[in-house]
Amino acid sequence: MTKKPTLVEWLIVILVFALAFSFLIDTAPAVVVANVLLGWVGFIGRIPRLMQWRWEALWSVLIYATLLIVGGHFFARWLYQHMRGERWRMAWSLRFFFLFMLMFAAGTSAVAIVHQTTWIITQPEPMFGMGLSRANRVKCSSNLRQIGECIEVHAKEHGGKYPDDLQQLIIDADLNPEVLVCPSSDQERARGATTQESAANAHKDLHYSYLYLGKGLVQPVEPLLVIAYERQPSHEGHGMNVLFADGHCEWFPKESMQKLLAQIQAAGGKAILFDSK
Amino acid sequence: MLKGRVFLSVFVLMVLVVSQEAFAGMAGAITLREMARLRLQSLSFFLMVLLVSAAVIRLVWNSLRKDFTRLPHLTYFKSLGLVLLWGLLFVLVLAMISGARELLTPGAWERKGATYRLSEGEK
Repeated sequence: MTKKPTLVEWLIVILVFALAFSFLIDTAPAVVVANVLLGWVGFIGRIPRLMQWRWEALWSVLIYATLLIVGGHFFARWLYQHMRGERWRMAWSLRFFFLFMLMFAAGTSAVAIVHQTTWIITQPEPMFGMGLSRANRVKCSSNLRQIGECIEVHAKEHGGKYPDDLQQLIIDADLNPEVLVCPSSDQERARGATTQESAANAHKDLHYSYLYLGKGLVQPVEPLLVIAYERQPSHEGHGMNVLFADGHCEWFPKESMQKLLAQIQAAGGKAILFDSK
Repeated sequence: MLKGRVFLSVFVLMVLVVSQEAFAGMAGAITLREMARLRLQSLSFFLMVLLVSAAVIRLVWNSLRKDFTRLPHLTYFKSLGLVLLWGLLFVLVLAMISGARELLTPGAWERKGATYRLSEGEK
């Protein structure tokens, strides 16, 4: 007789399989299947907070439902009495009403599924971020640090004065125009036959991803001054990288990002010290 | 008992698959875009509602069989089939409504992405 595996044995098998097939975790089908299977947890956590509860509508539904159940019950009782000569029970009316409501919920869900699937299939934007969003975040941070180094070089060569804009670094500090572009953005590197031409092109909207706040600053400056940050929207709204005067770069998640952007706006686009409160 | 364990195993496996912590800060090879993720979450929710509805409908139907003996026994898959047919009816009715809308207001709607919006001239 075959012995049934115990729960511990099952868990060991699962772990072995999970490790063996872990290379599949980050593939497109696995990501889609996982989201379809467990995405409802995120949906339930997200949507109720956004919903506006219209109590008058809920009361209306209750009143209409009561009227429908009572009216439907009397009609069914009359019909059943006529056809079978027996008494129709209230419990049956309630169950049939519940059944009808469930069918309605299921029908609405089917429509929603068709709608969402159609949208996913026909959307013009790609479904996946093939550009390795996390790797892009790291590359973007590296870009800003390189910009920080070039600003330092520029300041040393100009009596501590910061450049007027980031594009000036292409000429003064041999900055590659590609560094001015975040890999997760829609922008692309500026091109030109000469360095001056590249720098001039890099002023165009299409060719830079970072906004600069250091114009007019002269060393020494407060090390934690924010001197450059990303144009919005950045990294699909998850946050942005920020460059500080001491040359270090930090990732600001969505909430901090919004606070920082508000503070920069309040300061009129000047370099600021970030207040996290 | 075995079914429960299989279910548990699949669930644990899916949790492992979904767990973003497993990446431990490493760059993922592929990620869903935000809008697609939200759409998939909605799809997942409504799919769950559909599956749960089928289960509850089966329970209510079979409870009614005690009093209505001519009703046949409903298995979960038959209930799911019923729900899917019913859903198809909804989709058909909505498609007919959109057809009727075009008949009533010809040319007033223009395609925008996957849906139709009232054209500028009609606003």
